[in-house]
Amino acid sequence: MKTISFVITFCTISIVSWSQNVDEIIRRADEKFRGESSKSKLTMIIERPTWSRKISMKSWTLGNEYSMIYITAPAKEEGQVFLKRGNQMWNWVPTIERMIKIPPSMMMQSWMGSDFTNDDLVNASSLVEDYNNELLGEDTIRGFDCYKIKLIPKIDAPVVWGKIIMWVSKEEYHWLRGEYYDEEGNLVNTEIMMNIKKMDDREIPTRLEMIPADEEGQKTILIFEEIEFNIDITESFFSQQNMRRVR
Amino acid sequence: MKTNIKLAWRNLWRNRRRTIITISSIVFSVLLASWMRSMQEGSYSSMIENVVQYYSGYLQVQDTAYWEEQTLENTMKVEPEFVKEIQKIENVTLVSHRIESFALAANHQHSKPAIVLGIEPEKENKITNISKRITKGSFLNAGDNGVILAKGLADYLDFEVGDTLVMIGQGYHGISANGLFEVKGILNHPNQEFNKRLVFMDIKKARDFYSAYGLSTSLVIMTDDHNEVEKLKNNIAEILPPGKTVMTWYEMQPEIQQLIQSDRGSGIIMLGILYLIIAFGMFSVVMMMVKERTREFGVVHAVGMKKARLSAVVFFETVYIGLIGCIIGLIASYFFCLYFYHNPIPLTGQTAAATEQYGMEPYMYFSLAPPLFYNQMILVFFISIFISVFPVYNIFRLKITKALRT
Repeated sequence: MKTISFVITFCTISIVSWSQNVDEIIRRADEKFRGESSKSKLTMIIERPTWSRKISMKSWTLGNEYSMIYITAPAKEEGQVFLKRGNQMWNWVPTIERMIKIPPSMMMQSWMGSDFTNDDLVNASSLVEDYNNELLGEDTIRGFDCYKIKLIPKIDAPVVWGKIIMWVSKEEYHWLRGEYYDEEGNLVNTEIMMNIKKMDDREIPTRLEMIPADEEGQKTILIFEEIEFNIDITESFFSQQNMRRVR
Repeated sequence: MKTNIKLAWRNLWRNRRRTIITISSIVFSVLLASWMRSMQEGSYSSMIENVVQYYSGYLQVQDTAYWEEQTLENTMKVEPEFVKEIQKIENVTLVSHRIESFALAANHQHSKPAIVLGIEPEKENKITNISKRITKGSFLNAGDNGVILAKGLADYLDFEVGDTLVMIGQGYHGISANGLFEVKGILNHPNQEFNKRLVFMDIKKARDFYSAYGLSTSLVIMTDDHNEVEKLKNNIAEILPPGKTVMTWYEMQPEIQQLIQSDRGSGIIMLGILYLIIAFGMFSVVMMMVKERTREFGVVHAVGMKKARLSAVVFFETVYIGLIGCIIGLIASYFFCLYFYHNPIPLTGQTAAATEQYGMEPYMYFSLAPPLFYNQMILVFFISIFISVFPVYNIFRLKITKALRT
């Protein structure tokens, strides 16, 4: 009897701790990438079969809820600001002095002509809270031992994906690869993170490649040039008034 | 022979009233047939003009991928030499660059999707004569920064000349295209669909707006002879650089040509019925004449005129009547249609609304193409010759005894 109850208890504990463990992996990987707050300089390269172009920007984030992006180059788009508060998004266009609220109907449209959608930017869903996870096993990516984790959105979660598979390195909790599937189970996008460098106080992948599955020769590359984590920034920074002022 | 003709001519004017009645029946036949054909062909050419002149042009050179996917990514760079070579081809009157895309047109509160058409103002005006449609303000000049709005769009956004139009879109390679433009003029576009959506801009400004420097979505080619479009297409195809294609207006808008063909088919049936009625009308007049003159024929024959000669005289009479009727009919119908050509019949009520929905002006137009008229004339003339067989046949069957007693 004692042995049986011990076995049961042990199993229960191990199951609980195991699932907590996966949650923990995801949370740490996610947090590592976002930080509580951050300020960064980045470059986006849009690659197409016959051409490519480069956009430089600055970005500020606060948790999952707030972010602001200021375009610094090319000259024609300089000064455009995107603000995200919760799941709403605004665009300040200085050349026409207009504040444009991005309507829900435009959420799935391309952002700045890239392979990211507006929804990708706004997406406030939390990998921990909005998905049920399952450890699929272990894998090796570019020499890193990784956990391979399957994320299935919870029933009420405001999520566009049908399934996400992510690879997170065991040692450093680097998110190295993500595959996004639609509701029919077809691969839509693949994300590959690489070039792990020390940025501010931590080591993170600094190059993100977003490769849409159905478009031959297309991808969008995001390169982080500078990041400061846990900066002194408050919610009031992310306001429409401030969109016109930030530089 | 000479006497026969003289005799026929005199016979005609011996009974003036009968001749005039016969001639006028032919005149009205020609008039009716030409009027109907003129109206049909007039409405076709106004249809073609509407689509060709106000939008597509007779021919367009485009990037091969553009027709299937009309985006700025499928634009083309056109070498000036290529344009010069096209201009050298016979019957080409004009070659003009265009850049076309979409943008959101807005005032301070409302917005509406618009078609932005970057044009070479001077050439475009030669194609479409669009500057005449300006209701307020003035037309574009090359290098202008302002825009011309179609009236429907201007009304929706409540714009007047001098106001500032906001445009938001996406340019070449996904570069954002945002800008403020002064409204330089407002025009009433005959195509209702375009009237709700069009924004005209100088091509330089449009290329700048869309960051599509040096690019065009199409080359519009105009000709002075729209029956030569197919031949022109082949000529242009011969000198076409790789990656480009040439299309005719009916390849771009096959539905218009199909509509015209089916309508023309039903028109020909109608015309056939009309000619049948005309032929019977003329026949009855000629038959009446023969019956009336049976006694006369009998007497003339009895005093020694040979039947062959008599029938020759009657044949010439019919030919005269046909000829005179046709010439008067031709002149009358030309002036008749000329009036309607300059004063098209306005449509009202639901027909007008339906025509406007098809993007056409609610008017019945008339055509003055010469073949319409002389074809009717030739046809009616042949009908009159055919009918003259009847009196000739009658004369050969003539029995003096019977004829003298009538």
